[in-house]
Amino acid sequence: MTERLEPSPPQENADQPIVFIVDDDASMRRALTNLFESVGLKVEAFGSAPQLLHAKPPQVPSCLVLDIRLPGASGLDLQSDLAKADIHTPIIFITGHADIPMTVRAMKGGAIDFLTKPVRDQDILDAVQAAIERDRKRRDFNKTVLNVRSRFESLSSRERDVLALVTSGLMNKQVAAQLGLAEITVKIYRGNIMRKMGAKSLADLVRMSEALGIRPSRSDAQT
Amino acid sequence: MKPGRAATFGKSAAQFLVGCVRQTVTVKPRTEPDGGLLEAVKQWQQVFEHNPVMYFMVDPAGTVINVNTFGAAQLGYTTAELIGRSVLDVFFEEDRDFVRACVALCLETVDQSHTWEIRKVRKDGSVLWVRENAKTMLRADGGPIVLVACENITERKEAENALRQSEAYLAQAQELSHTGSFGWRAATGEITWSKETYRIFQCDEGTKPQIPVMLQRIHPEDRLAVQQTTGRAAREGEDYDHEYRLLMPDGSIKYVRAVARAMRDSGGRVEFVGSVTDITATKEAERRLRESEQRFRAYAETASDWFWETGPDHRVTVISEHSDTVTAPAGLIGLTRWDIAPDADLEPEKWRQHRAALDAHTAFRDLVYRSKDRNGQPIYVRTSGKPFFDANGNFLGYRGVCTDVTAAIRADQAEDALRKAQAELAHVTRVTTLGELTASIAHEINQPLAAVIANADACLAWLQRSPPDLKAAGRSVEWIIEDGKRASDVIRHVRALAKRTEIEMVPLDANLVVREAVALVQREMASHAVSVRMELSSAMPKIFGDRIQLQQVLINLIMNGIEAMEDVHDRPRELAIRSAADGEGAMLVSVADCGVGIDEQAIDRLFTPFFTTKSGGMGMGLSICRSIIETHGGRLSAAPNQSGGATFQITLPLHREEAS
Repeated sequence: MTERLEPSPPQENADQPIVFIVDDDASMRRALTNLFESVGLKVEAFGSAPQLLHAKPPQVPSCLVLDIRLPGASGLDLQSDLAKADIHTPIIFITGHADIPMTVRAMKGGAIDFLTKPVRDQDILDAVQAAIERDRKRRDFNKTVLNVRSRFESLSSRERDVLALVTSGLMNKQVAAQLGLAEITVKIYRGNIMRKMGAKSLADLVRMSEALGIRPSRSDAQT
Repeated sequence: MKPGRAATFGKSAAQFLVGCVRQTVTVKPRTEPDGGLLEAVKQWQQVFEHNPVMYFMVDPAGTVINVNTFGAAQLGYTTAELIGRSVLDVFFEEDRDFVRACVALCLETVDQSHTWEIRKVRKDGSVLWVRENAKTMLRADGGPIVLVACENITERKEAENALRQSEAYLAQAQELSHTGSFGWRAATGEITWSKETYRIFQCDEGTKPQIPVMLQRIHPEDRLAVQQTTGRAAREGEDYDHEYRLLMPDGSIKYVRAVARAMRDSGGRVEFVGSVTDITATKEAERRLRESEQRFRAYAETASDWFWETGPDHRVTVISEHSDTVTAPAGLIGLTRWDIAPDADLEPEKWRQHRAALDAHTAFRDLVYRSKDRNGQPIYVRTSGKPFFDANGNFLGYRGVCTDVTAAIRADQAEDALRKAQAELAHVTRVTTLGELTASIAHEINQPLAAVIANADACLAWLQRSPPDLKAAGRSVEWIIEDGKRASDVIRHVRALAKRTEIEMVPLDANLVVREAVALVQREMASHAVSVRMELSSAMPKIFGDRIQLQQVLINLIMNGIEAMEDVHDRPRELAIRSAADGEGAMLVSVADCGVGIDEQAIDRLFTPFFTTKSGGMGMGLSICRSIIETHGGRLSAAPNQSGGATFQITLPLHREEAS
C-alpha cells in the first residue's frame, strides 16, 4: 500500500471523468463509491443494470465497474447489451469468485480487467485509471477519425481514387497508368488531396487513410 | 288429678275440722262463759292457728275474713296483712277467673265440699302449689261464708313435673336413638313397651304387647333363633343380646338389636328389663361400607396398581395382596424404598429430595424409580404417598399407591429416540443443503468483507489527503464497523444452521425468518438468473417454532424452485414468496415457481422419503420438510399452478398468545 495514487485535485470541468458502478449490494456500492471518491474520482452508482441503461450515456471519459453476478440479467449480459447499444465504455468486472469460462467471456467482450473480491485498492484504482485513459484515447481517436472523415467527404471521387492508390504505395506514374490519366494530372490531384486533407506528408496521408479504413487489409491498426 | 278440677270431698279430717271451726267461730261469747266450753274453743283456736294447713274464711265478695297464722306465713304475709283483702290477690292474674268460678260454685252448693289444685302467689312472687278444699256454710245470721283449707303440694307438683319432664326426655331420647325399652316378666308373660318400642314394632300403642304378636312381626327366618335365645334366657335367668329382623306390614325389613338384663323380683321370679334398637340404618351403612370396600378392592386388584404402607422409619409394613402378582414386587416388607431402587446411587439428588420430603412428613406425588418385578425383570414404578398420623398427631408412616409405568416410560423413550433421530436427519440434510449453498454463503460473507476492505482503503486515502479529510475518514470507519457486523451475522447464522440439532421453540416473526432464509440463497438465485418477488403481509402475528428448522424448510423449497426453473428460457424465472395470516389462527407461507411443475400423480408421493425426480437427489428433502412442519403443528402441501410451475404452501399455527 506504499505506492498509493496521489489524489488528484478536484477538477470541476466538464471533462472530469466518471466512474460508473453497478452492484446490487448497497454496502459494496457504498464502499466502492467511497474508495473512488477518496482518490478524487467522480462516481455514479447504480443498483441494477436497467438503472444504468436508463441513464444518459456519458459524454466524458468514463469506465464501468460491474459486479458480474447481478440479479436478473448478469454483468456479462449487461456487457453485451451495452455493446449492442453502441456504448463502448470500458468495463472492469469484479466478482466474488471467478470461474474461467466467465473470465474468458468477459475478456472477449472487451473487458479491461477482471478482479475478484475483496479487491486490492491499488489493483482496482490502476484498472480504473487505465480504463479511463483508454476511454479518453478512444474518444480522442474517434474525434480525429470524425475530422479526417469530414475532410475525406470533401474529396471528389477522382481524388478519392487517387488517394487510395497513392496511399497503397504506387508511384505517380503507376497511378496515372492505372487510372488512364496524365502523370501531371495525378500530381495536381495529389496536391489537392494533400491540401484538402490537411496532410503534411505522404506518411500523414497514409495514417489518415488507414484510420478511415480505406485500406481494409491494414485496418487492424485501428486500435 | 288436675288442678282446678273441683270434686266433692268425702269425709275427711279437714272437713271435720272445718265443721269444728264453724262451731267455734259461730259460738258467741257469753256473758258467763262456760268454763269447759271456753277451754274447748281455746284448744280449737290453737289447732286452727298452728295446724300445718292453711285456713281461709272468705265472704261472698271474696274478701278474706280470717286466715290462720300458718296460712298467712306460707304466703309470706302476716294475718293482719291478708284480712280484709281480696282473696284474689294471692292468685295469679290468669287463674283468677277460675278462682271466682270455684267460689261461685261453692256459694251455689252450700254445705258441699269442693276440691281443686291451684297455684298461689307468695308475697315475694314465688309459686305455691296448693290443693284447696272449700265449702260454703251459712252463718248464724244466714249469710254465707266460704271456708277454704289448703294443703301445700308444691313439692309433689315439682316432682310430678320433673317426672313428666324426665319421661318426655326419655321418650325423646328413645325416639332419637331409635331405641325403645321393654319389660318382660317371664313367669307371667306380661310385657310392657315404651312408646318407641311400639313404633319400632309398628304396633298400635293401645294393643297389649304379647309374645305371639311379637313373633308374628319377626322375620320367619329369625323366629326360631329369637325363641331359642329368649327361652334359654328365661330358663337360666341370664342376660341376652341378639339381633334379628322384623318383617314389616309393607314388606320392608327392619334390623333390630335387643339387649335385656335379667333380674329377679321379690318373689324370685325372673324378669327382664331391656332395650330394643332399630339398627336398620347402621346395617345399611355397614352394607354400604362393605360394598365400598369391596369396590375399592376390586378397583385396586383389577388395576395394575398396588398399595403400600410404611412405618415411621419409612420401612415397608404392608403391601396389598394382588390378583396380578407378577408386577407387584414381593419380599419388600422391612425395606425402604431406596433399598429397593437400583437407581438410588445413580440419581442421588432425586433420592435426597425424596428423603427430605419423607422426613418432613409431607405428601409426595409421582416419584418414578426403577425396581424389579417378581420375576426379577426391571420395571419402572411411579408412586405417590401421604403421611398418616394417630389421634394425637404422632407420625405413623406413609400410605400410598404404586403403578407400573414401564410401558409408558419405554414409549416415551422410544418417542424421544425417534424425535432425536428426526432431528439428526434434519441436521444432516441441512448440512447437505449448506454444502450446496457454499458458493452463496461464501459470497454472503465475502461481500461485506470486500466492502470493509474498500472502505478501509478509502479511509487511508482520505487521511493521506492534505489536509486530511477526517470527516470522510470517520464515515468510512463507521461503514467498516457496519459491514464487519454484517459479515459476522452471516457467519453466526450459518454456524447456527450447521451446528444445532436440538429444537428450540420460540415465538418468531415469520417474515424475518423468510427474509433471513432468502438472504442465504440470494446468490444462488442470481446465478441461476432467478428473480424473487416477496409479498409479505405487513401485519403478521408471531408464530411459534424453531427458526433454524423453518429456515431449512424455506431454503429447501426455494432451492427446489430454482432447480425447477433450470430449463425455463422463454420467460422470466421468477420465484414468488408470500406470507399471509389466514384469519383462522394460522399463517401461510408459500413458495411458487414457474418451472416444470409437478405431475398430479406425483403430488401424493412427493413427501415420501426417497422419492425424487432429480438424478442426484436423495429424495429426503421434502420428506424432512414435511416432518419438520408437522412437528410445528402445521402442514406442508404442494399444488400445481394454473400458469405452470408449482406452489408449496406451509401452514403454521400462530403463537397461542397471539392467536387469542
